[in-house]
Amino acid sequence: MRATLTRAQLISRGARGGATLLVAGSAFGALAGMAEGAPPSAALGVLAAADLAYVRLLIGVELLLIDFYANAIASGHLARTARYSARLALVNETEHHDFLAYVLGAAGLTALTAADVDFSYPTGSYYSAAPVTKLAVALERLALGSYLGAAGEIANPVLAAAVAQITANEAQHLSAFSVRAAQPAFHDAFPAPLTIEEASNALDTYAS
Amino acid sequence: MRAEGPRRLRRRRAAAVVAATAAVVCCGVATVPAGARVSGITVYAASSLTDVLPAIDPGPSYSFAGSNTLAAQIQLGAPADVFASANTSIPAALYARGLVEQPVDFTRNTLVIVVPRANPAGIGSIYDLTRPGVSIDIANSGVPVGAYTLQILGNMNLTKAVLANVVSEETDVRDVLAKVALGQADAGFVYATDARTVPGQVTVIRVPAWAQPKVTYAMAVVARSPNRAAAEAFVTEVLSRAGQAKLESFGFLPLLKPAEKIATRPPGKHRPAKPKSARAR
Repeated sequence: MRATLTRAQLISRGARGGATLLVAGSAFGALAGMAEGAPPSAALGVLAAADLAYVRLLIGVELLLIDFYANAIASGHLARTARYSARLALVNETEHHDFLAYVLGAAGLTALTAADVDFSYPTGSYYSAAPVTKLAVALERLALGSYLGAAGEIANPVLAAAVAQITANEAQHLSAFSVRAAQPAFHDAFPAPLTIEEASNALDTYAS
Repeated sequence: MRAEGPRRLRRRRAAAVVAATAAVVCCGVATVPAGARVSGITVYAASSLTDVLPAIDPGPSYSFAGSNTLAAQIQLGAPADVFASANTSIPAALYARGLVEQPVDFTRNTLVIVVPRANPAGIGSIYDLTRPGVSIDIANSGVPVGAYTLQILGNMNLTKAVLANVVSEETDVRDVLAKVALGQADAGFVYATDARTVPGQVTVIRVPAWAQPKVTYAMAVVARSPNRAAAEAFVTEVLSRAGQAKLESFGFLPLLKPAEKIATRPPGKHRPAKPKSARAR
C-alpha cells in the first residue's frame, strides 16, 4: 500500500480536483489511492454485501452521534471544557460519517442523510449537564460496541483497518465522557462487541 | 385488498356508476360529492393512497391498484386523467415515453413490518424474519412496495435468509396487509400508512431507519387526458398546503427539502478553538 497521505495533503488534493468532500480523517489515509484520482475501488476493491450492510449501520450510528453532540452543545448546559470535548467529538463523528458515506458512494449506493431520519431522546436528556453527559456515555458505548462488532466481521481489510481506527477514536470519546460522568475512564480489558442485530436494535431505540 | 379489481370489474363498476348517475340526475339530486373541488376526472393511484386521496377530494373517480398495474393500463390507453404512483421511477418512465406530463413528487412514506395482532411467531425485529419456519408475505418486485422490500433486505444483507421464508407474493400492498391481518402469514412488509388502516388487527414492528429506502410518491397528468385543466387542478390541490396537511394526517411524510450537507466548513476550520481551561492542561 502507498504511504498514507497527511490530512492536509488529502484535503489540498481534493480541493484542487474540485472534490466536494471537504473533510478527511486519518481513515482516509487507507484510501490514499482515491486521493490521486484512482477509482476508490482500487483501494477498497469490491465490498461484500455484509460489509456494505455494516457501513450503512455505522452511518446511522454516526448520524445519531452527530445529532446528539449538536444538541448537547446547543443545550448550553455543558461547562467550557466539556463543551470543547463535545465539539471535538462532533468533528470526529462528522469525519467518520463522511468517510463511511464516501465508501458507500464509491460502491454506487446512496447513504442515509440527516434529513432522512429523526432522532429522539429520553425526556430530560438536555435539561442539565448531568443527563447530557450520561447520554454521551450511553451513545459512545453504543458506538464502540457497534464498531467493535463491525471490526470483527468486516471482510475487506482496508475497510476493516479504517473501522479499527474509528473504534479507537470512539473509545477515546467514551473514556472522556465517562470521566465527566464520574465513572472510570476505562474498565473492561476486552470491551464487548455488539452483533449487527444488537447494534441495530439499540440504534433504533433513538429513531423517532 | 384493492379498492377496484381488474379491467372487467372496473367496466362493470363504471357502468353501474353511469346508471346510478343517470338515476340521480333524473331525480334532480347533485352528483358531486360533498367537499369535492375537482370532478369529472379519473385518478389512477397506488393502493396505499386508497384512503387519503378521497379524503383530499372526493370529487374524482378513483381507481386504486399497484402502480405498475396502473401504468400498464395507461400504456394500453386506459381513460385516466391523473396517475399517482408510489415511486418516482414508474411515472418517469411513462414521461419518457410521452404518456404523461412531467411528474411531480408529492409525498413520502416508510415501510414497516406487520404481524398478526397475536404475533404467533413471536417476531420482535426484522432479524427474526430469518428464523426457519416463519412465514412471510411480500409484494412482488414489480410493484413499488415489493421493490422497496427487496431494497431493505439488500441494505441489511438479509435477502437470502428472509426470502427463504416468503410463502406468498401479492400484487399490491393492501393484499399483503389483508393476509397478515387474517393470520395467513406471520409477517409482511407494508407502508406505515397502510398499517394504520387496520388498528387492532396487526402489530407494527419498525424497519430500522438506517435500512429504509427513500420512498417518494410522484404524480402526473396523463398526456391523453381530455380533462387537462381539471387534472392539473387536482394535482395542484394535492400539492397545496391543505392537501399536504391531509396527507400528513394519514401518516404520510412531507417532502424533503434539499439534503443538508453535514460538513461544509472549509479545511482547517474543523477543530474548535480550545477553551482557556483546556489549553492550560
